[in-house]
Amino acid sequence: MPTPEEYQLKSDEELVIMTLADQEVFLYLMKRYESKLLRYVNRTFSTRNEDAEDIVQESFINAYRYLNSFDQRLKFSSWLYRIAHNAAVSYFRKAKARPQLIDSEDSDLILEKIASDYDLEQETHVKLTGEKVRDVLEYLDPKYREVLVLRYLENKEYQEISDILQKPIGTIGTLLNRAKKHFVNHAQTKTLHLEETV
Amino acid sequence: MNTISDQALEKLKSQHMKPIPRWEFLLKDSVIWAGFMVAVLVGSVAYCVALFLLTTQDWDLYRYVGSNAFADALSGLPYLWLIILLLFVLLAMYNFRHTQSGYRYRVWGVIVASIGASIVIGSVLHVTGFGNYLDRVMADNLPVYRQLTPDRQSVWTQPEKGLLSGKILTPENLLPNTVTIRDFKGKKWLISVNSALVDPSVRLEIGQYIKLVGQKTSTGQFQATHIMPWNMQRWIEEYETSQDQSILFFTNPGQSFIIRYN
Repeated sequence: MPTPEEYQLKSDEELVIMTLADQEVFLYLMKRYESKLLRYVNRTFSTRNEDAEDIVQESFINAYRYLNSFDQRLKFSSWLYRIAHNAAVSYFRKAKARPQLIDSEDSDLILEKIASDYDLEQETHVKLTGEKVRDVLEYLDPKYREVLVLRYLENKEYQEISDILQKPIGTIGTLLNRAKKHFVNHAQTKTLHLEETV
Repeated sequence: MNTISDQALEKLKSQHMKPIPRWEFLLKDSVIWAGFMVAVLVGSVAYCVALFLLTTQDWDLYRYVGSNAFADALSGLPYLWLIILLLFVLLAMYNFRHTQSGYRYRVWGVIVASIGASIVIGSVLHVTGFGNYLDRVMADNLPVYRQLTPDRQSVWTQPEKGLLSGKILTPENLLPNTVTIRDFKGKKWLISVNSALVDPSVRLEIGQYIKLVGQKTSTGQFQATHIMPWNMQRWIEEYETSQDQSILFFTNPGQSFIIRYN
């Protein structure tokens, strides 16, 4: 029987095969993704940690139950993120709650990444701070916010985002472009509104 | 302290959860693929019959009767089969999108591919005569089908408008410059063909079905200007099974008689 250190060296796909023979092995897979999924769910859907923990636990249970449907052509991480995405959507639908906002650290990161594609100050005629970015993101459609998080915070490739959201890769490109445009538009509107109220 | 992973494993153990067997996923995927293939096949059949009806449609009818070409074309479209084709293309798309990798393809790409597959398979079926066969079987067994597909028989049984069709009873060599036909309503007509343009595939022989453009000259007599083949099998078979076939012909120099025994 492999030692815990040996398990750590196994690939995701090897651990999946081993899990089918021994349920305990699944713990190593879960540990490997626990913090990543928690961060992804938090960033995309909720700031309430209890919600995110419930969703991640539900994701792990679903992943185990559907382990035989894992398509080896996909990356395991994409497959697991997809399950987490579906679990989160289902969770918020059941709870009839609206996903909350991402934290300020992440806002700065998104701002930095989008700013590399756009001249944001030029586009919005104002200097955007992390706080304002969070205000802007609050008004973004969740589908745009999620694609921004996956691309800029989770650093996923287009193909991986396609596998997670189960949309064609071309659609992901379109979605990302629209998300950036909406971000800029909302940034302009929000800024004007803020200036009027001052 | 228990982490989320520990809690999840605990829950898996306490509820005795097992992975769903692989065969269940394989079965589900097979059913979806089978549904996709059936949908493409039915779409192909629909395209095949639609193609048959389109190719046997009288697109140039307006030239002879002075009607509106566009209205004629619209009324002659096989809507029933085109709707069936559309529905099954959508069903094929739905099934394909639910296969394991279906999400990777754009909806329009899948629709175009499904239509393309239906066109290719349907065209092969059309060459084998399947479209004609299925149209006939449907017409024979489903009365409502006739109401839903273009009714060429009625169109070509309007002598007052210069349109007539039917089966040749006496050939041209029996009665010089004339043939006798029985139309689809069972009425006999003496057709003058001396100034008619005859399609090369028409030989004016007994038993051949033809359609005519011309003018009704008197009761039971028609002057043809154009003679073309009638190429729709379903009406011919229906007509033949409903008509009395005991006909005897007598000819005298300069005179012709047709005697029908009922």
